[in-house]
Amino acid sequence: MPETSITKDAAALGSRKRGLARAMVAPAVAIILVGLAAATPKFTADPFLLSFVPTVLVTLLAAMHVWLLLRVDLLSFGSPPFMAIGGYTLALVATNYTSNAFVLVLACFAVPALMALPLAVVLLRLRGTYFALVTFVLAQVVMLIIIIAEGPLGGSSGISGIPPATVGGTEFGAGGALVRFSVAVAIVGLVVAAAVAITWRRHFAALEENEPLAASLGLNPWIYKTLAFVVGSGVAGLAGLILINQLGNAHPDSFLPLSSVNHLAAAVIGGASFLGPVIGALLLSWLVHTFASQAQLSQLFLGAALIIVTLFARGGITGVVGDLSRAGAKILGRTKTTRLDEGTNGPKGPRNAEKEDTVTTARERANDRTPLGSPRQVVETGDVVLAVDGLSKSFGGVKAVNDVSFELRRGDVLGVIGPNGAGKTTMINMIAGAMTPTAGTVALLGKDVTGWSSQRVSRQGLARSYQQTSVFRGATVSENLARAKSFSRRWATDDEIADLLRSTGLLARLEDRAGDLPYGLQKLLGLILPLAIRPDVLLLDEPAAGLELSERGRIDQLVDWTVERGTAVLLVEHDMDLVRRICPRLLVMDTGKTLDHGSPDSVLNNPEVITAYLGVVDDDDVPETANSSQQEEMNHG
Amino acid sequence: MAEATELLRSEGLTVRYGGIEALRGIDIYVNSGETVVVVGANGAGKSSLMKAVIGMVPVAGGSLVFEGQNITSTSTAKRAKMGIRISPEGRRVFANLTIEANMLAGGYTMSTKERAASMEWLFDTFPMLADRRNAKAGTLSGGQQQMVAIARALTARPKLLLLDEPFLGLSPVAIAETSNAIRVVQEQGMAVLISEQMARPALKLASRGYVLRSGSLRRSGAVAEIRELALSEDYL
Amino acid sequence: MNEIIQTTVGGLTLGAQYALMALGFSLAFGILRVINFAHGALYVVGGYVAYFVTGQIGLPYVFGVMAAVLATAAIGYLFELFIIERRIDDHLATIVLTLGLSLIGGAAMLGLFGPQAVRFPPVVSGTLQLGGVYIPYGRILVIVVAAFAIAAVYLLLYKTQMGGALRALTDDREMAIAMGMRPKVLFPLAFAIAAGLAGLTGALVTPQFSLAPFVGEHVLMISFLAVILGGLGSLPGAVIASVLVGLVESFVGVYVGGSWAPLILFTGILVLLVIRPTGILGHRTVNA
Repeated sequence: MPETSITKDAAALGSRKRGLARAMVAPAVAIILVGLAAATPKFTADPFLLSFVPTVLVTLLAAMHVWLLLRVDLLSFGSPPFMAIGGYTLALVATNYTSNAFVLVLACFAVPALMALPLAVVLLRLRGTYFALVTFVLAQVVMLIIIIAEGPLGGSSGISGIPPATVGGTEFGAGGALVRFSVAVAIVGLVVAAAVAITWRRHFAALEENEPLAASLGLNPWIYKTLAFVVGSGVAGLAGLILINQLGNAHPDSFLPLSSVNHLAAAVIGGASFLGPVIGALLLSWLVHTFASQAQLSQLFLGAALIIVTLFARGGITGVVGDLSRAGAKILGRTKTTRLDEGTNGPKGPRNAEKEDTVTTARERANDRTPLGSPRQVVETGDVVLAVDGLSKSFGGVKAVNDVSFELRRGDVLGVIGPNGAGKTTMINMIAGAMTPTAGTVALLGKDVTGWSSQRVSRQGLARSYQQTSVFRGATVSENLARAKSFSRRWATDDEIADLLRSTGLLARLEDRAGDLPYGLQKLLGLILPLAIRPDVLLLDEPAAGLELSERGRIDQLVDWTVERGTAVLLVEHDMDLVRRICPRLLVMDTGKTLDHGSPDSVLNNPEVITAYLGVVDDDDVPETANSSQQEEMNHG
Repeated sequence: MAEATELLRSEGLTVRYGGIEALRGIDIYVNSGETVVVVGANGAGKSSLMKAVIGMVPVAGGSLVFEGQNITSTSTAKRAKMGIRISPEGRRVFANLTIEANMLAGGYTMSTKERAASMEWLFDTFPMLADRRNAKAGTLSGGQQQMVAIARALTARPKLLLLDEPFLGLSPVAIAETSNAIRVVQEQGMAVLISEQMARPALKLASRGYVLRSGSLRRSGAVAEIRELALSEDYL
Repeated sequence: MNEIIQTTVGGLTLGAQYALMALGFSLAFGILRVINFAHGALYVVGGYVAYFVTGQIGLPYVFGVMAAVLATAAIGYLFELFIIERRIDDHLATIVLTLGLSLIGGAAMLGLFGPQAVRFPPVVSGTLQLGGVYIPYGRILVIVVAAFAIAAVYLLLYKTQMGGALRALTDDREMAIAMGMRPKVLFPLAFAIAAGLAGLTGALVTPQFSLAPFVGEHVLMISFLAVILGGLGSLPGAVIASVLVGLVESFVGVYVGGSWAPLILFTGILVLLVIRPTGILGHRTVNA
């Protein structure tokens, strides 16, 4: 199908370009907006604007700190301390060494960024609420250090008489020069933030949306959170630079810990787009200015706005505008959408024809290969790629997995079955690095990977799927694939991706949001992502659960596809027809233990296995003991 | 023996999650004082049925009647007050609470006096609960947690006890013990609705049953009538 | 020797006061998993209500304290019922929501009473002299109330039906509902108690120190310290940590110098987080 492949390439390429273009628009507008301010002579002569513009810019860069960290799902109250570090860096460097503007900008970005790096090592071990609390505490610590350091930092009386920044003979201490300098610094901060947010937009968006999935595809969450924290701190440092350069003296009162609340409000109210902090900062500064003599009113509006945005408009102002424009586009483009829907449901739609085609093929192939009940033959000649030895996991008094061992060779398909609660998913989580085993080892390609994190295991060559659908719901199908590609070191060829998309019926829906797909297609997309990183070992956790019977044939195809390429597959599944079709070897788990291991025929006829599913034949089979409770406790440790 | 009255009836009960139909038009009934079992393979919709009866999932179609009252859209808390209790799939004991606190929580809707009497009876009948009453439920073994989950539901002396996969993940010894506990419950005259994949021990406890597959009823009737199908249901 | 005793007593009284400050905050997190950034603002509101009733209307101090508790509890009740409850599962959202409440509360006090600190009429004065140790009666009142409040919260959580229900709801909300509990009745009540404790603390402590719209920040910081040190959500941990903070502050203040005390504390906390991220008595609540 050369035609489809071309269509697909074009579509993917188009979406990539459009995605990038869309990501660039907001920062470009932001930077132009800020730049325009400096270019207007009248603007720079107005005494009000002379003080107002730097104030807005300080808020903007501080809000940018919060915004960057929100992009990786962290709430930071850390803008004041890093602004203070930037501001005091300016004070010390300008007073003692040089007032060269270039040196100052560099130093005021680099010093807070470098100080953030070791802090990131400590703080990013914490998540969510804890991180927020600790950044608040950090703001106090930095304040206290400044107050105590009377010698170098001037203590509570601060440092005054700081010379303004200069380039050549020009001083940026007052008037239009001050405004232009402030604008230039703000543009530097915005460009750095934009460069980071655009370059790693996929990584950030994935972390915000579905961190476990991103990590299982090879993304190291810690690196990108650190990146956001370090760059965000440098940007906050530039805010401190603008502020202190404008004031001419550095004082602890300029960096009150509670001012972070304003920066947070600007970022939250503005919203998730890059324009968000710009709009938020403008709105906040306007509020503060308008109610300069009635601080209580601006504070009241701000508080109410925070609550309203959080309850009713999670995307903030830019998010609401975006939703409205999308809704508008939908109404305008209704004719087109309708036609597409017809294509989906109509009997003659090309996509539907293709779908039917695939299903038939899958069934035919399934039938060809597997006369029901007898597994296909696979010659086990490959090397051992996964060796699990004595793996165990306890939760409180319950041993969820208890001393499980097995080996997987290249091209192997091992089915793992067992009643609900047997510990199958827990085992997958331990092998894939999502849980730490209580005991036992996991060796992947000869390397001991016990206790490794998800992304390390992934990079070593292991991929996994999830029982529930796990995709990046807010992104399109092609963007889902693009994200997986940018997180992983390995990637299938374009032809192989086209193959996978075609066989699952996702090819025609490349531009649909993953969250809008029907359940079955979401689940299949969740299977394609780990397949596409071409793992050596693939763990599938109930891939058929929730799929219509007619869709299940596609799992046969996908497993075949990856096995042909030398992957070893571990398949946890309840659909016994599927298991019989594709697994030459089965492992049965019950109450965390291995009950049996062997060919489907021998395993499924084992009375013990039948008992595990159906229960004992008679109570008489059970040893009736007076102290059976104790015995049971021993069983469970 | 008094004539059995109808306690629970579902008609055309339908449950959907996202795009999937977990239950399609299920008709079942439970009489007062009887034990009814629902068997079926994983994903057949057993838990969805139990959750629909207690109100933990919304009903997409059909109706539920309890003691002559339509409870299809009654809140879960209200249903609990009307006398339905569940021991849920996976037990879900309050892990950070002691056994005693779990039972107290189970009897939340009762008067202090009634509850004390009920708990005393449970402690007498199941000594394990009394022995470890101050142990946090999360530290217990699977079998013990199942006992706590059942005791928690029993404290309220419900008219209808729902047992969702009571044997899940238990050793044969623990299954036998749980079965014995359920027999004690039956002697008290409570109606019990059990959903279970392990058909053999479950069928032994019940007088009537239903076989569920892919969200639809395959067969219903006395245990003797459904036994064959229940045991051959394609788990394997 | 006498100095050591005086310092210890000073540290313990300060610790008791801090425990009272942190109690409501810790309760809100322990039960609702909400980091209440409005805790300091509610403390301030409690102080002003007591000031209004006592200083401006002229009623006895007891009525002022009662009014403070009722007013803040009512605010807490309504805020949980209508606002927090809608986002109860999203921890970052509840932080932003309580920040919003904090701003509104601060703004209201600023608008009604102005930015300047107000002078409370002397309510509890005099100093107890025991041997060579001096304790102001106002502090003794705070210690007594703190002891009662801690005991009451403990009894409420562990000895009453409502406490059991609240803990069950924290553990597994869906199952607790299936037992007949109603989070929409119980959670607003729990948050009302937490808020009322902040108001009580404000009414008791602000007359001893100062009352201005922005004094709540200190209370919020102390609460953060107590729960981070004690382990998020652990009530005994928060109490022990509060006393520890009081003692450290007292001893460092006497033997090293005033402004070093908080620095040592805060830095100590950052170090503790590296060694033991779950706090002194905390369990696995880091990811909560």
